[in-house]
Amino acid sequence: MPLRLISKFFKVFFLGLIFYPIILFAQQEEESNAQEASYIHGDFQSDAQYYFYEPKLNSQKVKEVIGNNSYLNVLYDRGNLSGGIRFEVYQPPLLGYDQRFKGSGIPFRFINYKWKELSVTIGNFYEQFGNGLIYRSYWEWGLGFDNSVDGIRVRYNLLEGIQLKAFVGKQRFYFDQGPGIVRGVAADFSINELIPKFELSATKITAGIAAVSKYQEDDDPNLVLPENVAAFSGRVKVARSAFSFEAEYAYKANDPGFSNGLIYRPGQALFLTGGISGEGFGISLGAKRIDNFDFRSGRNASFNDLLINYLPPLTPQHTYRLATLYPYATQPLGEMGAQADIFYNAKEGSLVGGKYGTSFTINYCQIRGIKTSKVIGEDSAKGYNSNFLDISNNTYYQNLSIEVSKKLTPTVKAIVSYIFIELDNEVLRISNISGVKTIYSHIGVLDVSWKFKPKHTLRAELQNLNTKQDNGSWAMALLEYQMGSKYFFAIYNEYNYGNSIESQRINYLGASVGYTKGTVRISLSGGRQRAGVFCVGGVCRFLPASSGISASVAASF
Amino acid sequence: MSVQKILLVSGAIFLLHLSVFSQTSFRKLPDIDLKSLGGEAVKSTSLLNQEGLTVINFWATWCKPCMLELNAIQELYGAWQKETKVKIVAVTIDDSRNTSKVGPLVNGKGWKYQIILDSNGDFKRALNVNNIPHTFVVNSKGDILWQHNSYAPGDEDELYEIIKKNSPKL
Repeated sequence: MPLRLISKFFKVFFLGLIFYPIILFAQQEEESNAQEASYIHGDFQSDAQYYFYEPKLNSQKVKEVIGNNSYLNVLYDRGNLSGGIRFEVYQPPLLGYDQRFKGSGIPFRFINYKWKELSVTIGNFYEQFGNGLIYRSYWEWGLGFDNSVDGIRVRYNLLEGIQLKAFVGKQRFYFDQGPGIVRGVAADFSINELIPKFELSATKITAGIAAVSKYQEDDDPNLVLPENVAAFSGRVKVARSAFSFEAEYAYKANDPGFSNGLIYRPGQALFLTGGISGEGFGISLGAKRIDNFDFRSGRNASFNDLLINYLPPLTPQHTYRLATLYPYATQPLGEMGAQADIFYNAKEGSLVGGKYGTSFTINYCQIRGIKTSKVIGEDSAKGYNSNFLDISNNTYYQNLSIEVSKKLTPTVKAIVSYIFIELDNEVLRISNISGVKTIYSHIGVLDVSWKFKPKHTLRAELQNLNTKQDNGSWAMALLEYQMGSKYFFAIYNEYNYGNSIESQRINYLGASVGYTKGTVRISLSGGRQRAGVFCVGGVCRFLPASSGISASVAASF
Repeated sequence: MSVQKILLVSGAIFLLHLSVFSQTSFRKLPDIDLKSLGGEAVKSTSLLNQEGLTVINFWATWCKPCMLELNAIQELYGAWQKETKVKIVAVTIDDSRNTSKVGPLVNGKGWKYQIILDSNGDFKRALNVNNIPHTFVVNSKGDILWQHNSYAPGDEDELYEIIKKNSPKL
């Protein structure tokens, strides 16, 4: 009897399996006949590390032994409606991430609906006004950075050439929210679309204005703190095929807080960029001035917490490992800087280009402090005075880099790079060795790749960083093998040969294996990792030295 | 049931499932507000090429493999266009730190792609791009036919196979 029952069950089960696709198919037919199909899509990443404790590396002891950061985004679209959630788990967070992330939850969820020109989002959202000087909320998983606003956002295309945006809400603070309310409005204009005379002009003019304000209760018994703080910005951009120029200015009312030492001084920011380019060459220029422009939705917030705005740094984003040893982080309390980039491509067959062409990239930038004079007496709460054009003699950061990239034969490519970095350690605090003031470093890189068979490439990197300060000089070697489009192997070593303490002349040897298929990427690596600062967009996170095995999986669907 | 029968039946079931899933309607390209290099508003749906396929490639000025990939494709782009009328849109996720460098860099490299700015990642998030480079192949109706993450030298040949297979016959 039970046997018969089981066999009957299996029959029904198999029949179900056979018919299920047919039923599904019929449903899909119906759906495709209807106008609006629905889609579920998302992405996922999980990074885990098993830590070995090696006192020699000055690494931290992880009592849980394993750290893990993971997220899963699931989004749903149907016609004009969309929505989504993100689940995050940190049990415990990987070394270098804030411990306040520990735990799990859904810090991001939203629903959006669009009616032709009107779009409304409730829940969490990311948004940016202009270059972000007074408002930018964004998500940078690798940095552990997310300042999304939870509230409501409306976007409206008033007419061709005018786009309006408005929002109100509170910012994400780990698995909680910040104390302040943030609200803002912005309007973007396209002059070409608004003025018929300019409609067909090759010169494109766009402009924008924005205002953002925050509210936080004054709960300090001793100080009268402004509860509402407003900031304004205006910008204009002119572009014509080979030329472009953009200027943005922002002003912020006085905003005493922990980060600026509770001074009652208004802030200002100016950001200028431009470019000229033609066939095979391009020049990009930038300049900026930042004065007391730290803007947060919590008076006591510090580091990367509760930032309302984004101050783009005017420094290059280095990718070679040793060049990332001395990065620049934006100084929101005051800095002035300028940057120039040159891109040049010498054509194949030309004198400089050689048989297969040569390309050059040159960057120079210098960032300094602003000149200030302390206010004394009755108005001392205002902090300091500073003339707009007074540049301080204090150089915070300077970079000169030259990169030459050349194809030597149809299968061999080489990149040679020289980078000079000067960094004021008293301001940027990269080295925690006492007495390190200015760090001067010279970096050389040779990067050669050889495609020895179709889809099989070997790549080698040799790097050297020369400095007399901080931990002294470093060398690095890397060998990488890309096998087909799916498999990837690498072995690398960083060696701090110039360290003045002999026992600290450590080899940081490591290896990794990766596998990619479609949108799935799995990687496994093991070995040592030196301490360093990991930065994205001038926002940085300190990564302590560690040793262990790490695994990472990323996928999207 | 004998083992063979079970295998046969399960094989048939598997094939049936496969056929259904292969017929699943493709996801449409989401409608997102983006910016051109000149700063003008561009709708993602207006990027679609009516004569052939559209390749949407996410990149950034600081991404080495992205530069390698776009340099490699540039050498072949003319021939690809002639044979299949494909259009390539290079969407940079560079934020305001680097957006002003994009135009000079693109001209410096001699790239002929349509360049789009996704400065705050709206398009990137809508398409679930977690790492770059990430490439999508989209037809004129906006159906996302294929996607791939990361770049290895030689991947451009595989991309072209996909383009050829799915391009409308000229």
